[in-house]
Amino acid sequence: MAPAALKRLSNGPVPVLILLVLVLVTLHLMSSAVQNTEELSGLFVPLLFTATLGLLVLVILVGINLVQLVIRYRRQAAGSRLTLRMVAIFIVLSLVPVTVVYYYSQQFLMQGIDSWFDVQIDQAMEDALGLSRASLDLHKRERLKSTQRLIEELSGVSVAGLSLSLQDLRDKYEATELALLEPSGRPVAVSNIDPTVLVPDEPDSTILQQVRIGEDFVGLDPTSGEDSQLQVRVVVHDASRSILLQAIYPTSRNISHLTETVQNAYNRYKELAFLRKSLKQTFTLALALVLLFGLLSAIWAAFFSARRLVAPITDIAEGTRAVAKGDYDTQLPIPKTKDELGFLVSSFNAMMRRISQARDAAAESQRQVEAQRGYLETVLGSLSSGVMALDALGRVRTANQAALDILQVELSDYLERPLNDLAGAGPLLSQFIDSVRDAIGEQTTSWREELTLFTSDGRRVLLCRGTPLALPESKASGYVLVFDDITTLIQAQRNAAWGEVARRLAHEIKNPLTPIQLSAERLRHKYLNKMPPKDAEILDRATHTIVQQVEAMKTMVNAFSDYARPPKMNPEWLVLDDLVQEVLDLYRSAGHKSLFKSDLHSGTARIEADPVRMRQVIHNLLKNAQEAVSDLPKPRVEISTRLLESTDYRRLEFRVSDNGPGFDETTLSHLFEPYVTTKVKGTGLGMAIVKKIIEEHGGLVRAENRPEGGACITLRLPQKDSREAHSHNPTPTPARSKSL
Amino acid sequence: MSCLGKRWGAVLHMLVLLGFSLSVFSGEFLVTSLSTNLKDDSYLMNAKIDYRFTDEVLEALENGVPITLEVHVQIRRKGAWVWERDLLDFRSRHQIRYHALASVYQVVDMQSGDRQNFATQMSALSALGNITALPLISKADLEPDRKYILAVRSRLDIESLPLPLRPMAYITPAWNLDSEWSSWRLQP
Repeated sequence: MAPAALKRLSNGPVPVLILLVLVLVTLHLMSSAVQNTEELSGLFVPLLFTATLGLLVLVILVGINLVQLVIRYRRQAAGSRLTLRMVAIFIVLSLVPVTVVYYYSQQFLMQGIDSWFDVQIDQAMEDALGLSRASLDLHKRERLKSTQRLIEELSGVSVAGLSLSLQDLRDKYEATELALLEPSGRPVAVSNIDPTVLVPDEPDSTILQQVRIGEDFVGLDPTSGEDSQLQVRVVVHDASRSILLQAIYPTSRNISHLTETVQNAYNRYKELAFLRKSLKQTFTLALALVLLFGLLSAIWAAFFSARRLVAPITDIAEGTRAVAKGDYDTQLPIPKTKDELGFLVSSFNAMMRRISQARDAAAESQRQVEAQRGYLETVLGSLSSGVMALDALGRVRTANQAALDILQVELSDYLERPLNDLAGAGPLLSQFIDSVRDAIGEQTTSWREELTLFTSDGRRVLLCRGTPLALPESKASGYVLVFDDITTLIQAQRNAAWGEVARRLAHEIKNPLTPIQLSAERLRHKYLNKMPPKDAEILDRATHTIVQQVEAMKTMVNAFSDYARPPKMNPEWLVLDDLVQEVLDLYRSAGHKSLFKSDLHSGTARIEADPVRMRQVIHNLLKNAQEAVSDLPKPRVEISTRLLESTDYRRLEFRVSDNGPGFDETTLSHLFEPYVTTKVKGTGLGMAIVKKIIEEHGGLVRAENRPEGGACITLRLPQKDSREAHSHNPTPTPARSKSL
Repeated sequence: MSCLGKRWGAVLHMLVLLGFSLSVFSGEFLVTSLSTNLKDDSYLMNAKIDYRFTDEVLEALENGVPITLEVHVQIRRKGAWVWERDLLDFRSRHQIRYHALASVYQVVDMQSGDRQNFATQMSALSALGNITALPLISKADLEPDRKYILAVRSRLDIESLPLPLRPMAYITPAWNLDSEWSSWRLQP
């Protein structure tokens, strides 16, 4: 048999059942032994020992079960309470009838045993014995008198003579044996009915002692052997001859038989009467063992049954606990019995399988939803248009990165909050909300509107589209806003328009200027010397004015031409600080040494730019600043560079600030458009050209008024380190070497 | 009585004795003298045993319950190993009972069936305890240059008691009457 099967067998009920059967058989044998079966009476004590041992093992088994149950109950293990309750019920159900049966069985037994012994029977037995004794006493007295007469008749002096006399007298008095003894008990002469018996039946020392002191003895003497008879033993003392005579007389067979019957009955009755207490104790002990066996068997059966009944329920409780913890893969062992509990466990397992399948399906759906959501977020995140979704209550449900960038706010802080609450989130968002609030509240269909927002950087134009959104979980509709920052687009369109205007204007104006200038110079050359001094002076002034104005117009037309000219870039790698320093040196050498204060900190950081155009940008900015502070008593222009680094980008910043009057509001919003200037003689193209060149280099330009007064122009250009630059452009020409 | 029953009884007897190791109830029988004499190339044993019954046993005897006494005699080589067989191992059993009608105490030799009657209990017990010239072993069965030990003890045989009395007798010290082993050196 396999070890596993052995272990299963040893853990199962089979060993205990075998033990119970053994104890039961032992008790049955004990019962037979108590009934005094000859073969079994000798085995009573070993059987008692075996039964006690078996019951002790049962007590230990029950004790172990009880301790285990208590421990499980204290730990509040699943099923322990139900087990305890069932065990208690089983014990009560078994204890009551067993106790009742024990009590009444014992009562019946005790009363039955007591009924054997009755006062009348007791007295009758005593009387029977007394009667027998009285009858025998008469016989004994007769025999004593006969013996006393016999010793008087005894004659002879020698042993032989005494022997002959004894034989005669024995025949005469019908004695079985006559013997003459010395006082010490030593036989002198003997005469027995059996001639082969030469040694007399010696009386015991007590009889001899009694007779020696002069008191004759007469007593009954049961004989041994199968033919048991009652004899009368008489011992008398002949003091004159200092001799003892012992005479043994038979009794009649009838008397012997009757007295033996009485003796045996009396003896048996006395023995039973004496054993009554022991008999009761023995029966009580046997009954107690049976009671104990029944009780222990019931308790063990209670434990076993409770365990088997509760096991599936415990499994279900554990399974339910596992489900509560989120473990849906639990499968319970199905009981072997095909009862309701088995059906319950099967149903539980089926339920768990379905829950597990539903969980997997839900997880799959969730995963798909998450994937879809991630996909949508990626799509929304990659859109350049800002997208903001509102629910029916006007709360922000979601917004993409472009929306945050356009509105310059961290909208994640305001998700799930009503749109009206976001007014304080920033000036741009506040203007945006003010602009769309009415449309959201009133429009029930899609709408489209161009919104103009004002920031410190200038005017921002947003193209916003609103669409009511039917939400699946609500009858009320939400709203989705899609908006684009079209400021740059509008600016580009405007720049393109201005470029076209400038190009046509330059073309149309430039053509007649040269003939005008040449004609004026020709008039001056031909007639100046021929005319009187006064007229000559007028002509000189007039022609000079014409030539000068034509030059001015040429300059203006060239400026227009430059503005409208399509970009023609010759990018090189430049060190910005070197380039700025180079242009500054020109100004300083021209006598404006104290005006400019430089603070260059970008080090050897490089930009990829056209050096000629970048010089033009720096020159324009420095010139504008110089002109802005020219009328001030303490003019001051500060030039600074620095490297801006973050995880996303590296940029070089160039900043020119002055302590001049700064820009008014109108100028600031249109500063980078053509024909916007604060100077009397300016063309209004300088800042427009600066913006155009910087944007051509992928940079940004910003104008603002300083809080302490004055204007500040900031340029930011993309910066790449050398290795990155080399990897993108393998053959750049170092700007430093060229510019230096 | 079967041999198996005797062994179980002995085992239980031992256990009970261990459980009730009250010496006041044990050793009520006393081997007061022990000797041997050689007669006709046979060793004969003489011994005197003082049988002191407890009140419970005396009460049972007076009520007609026969009491069986056993004298256990062993002869072993001195210094013998545990597994060596005894040269002699026998048990002499006598029963004493009270004959109410004749008012005598009968002593029955369980081996031979011989019966003796005594007028008093004392004389009966005295006769029981007086062992005279009990044949033991032939001299030829003993090696001349060896020493031997004769051991004798006596006990009340509980297993011979009536069945109802037996369970309580096993667990009652008053019924567990026996003597210590007494020994006598035999040297041929």
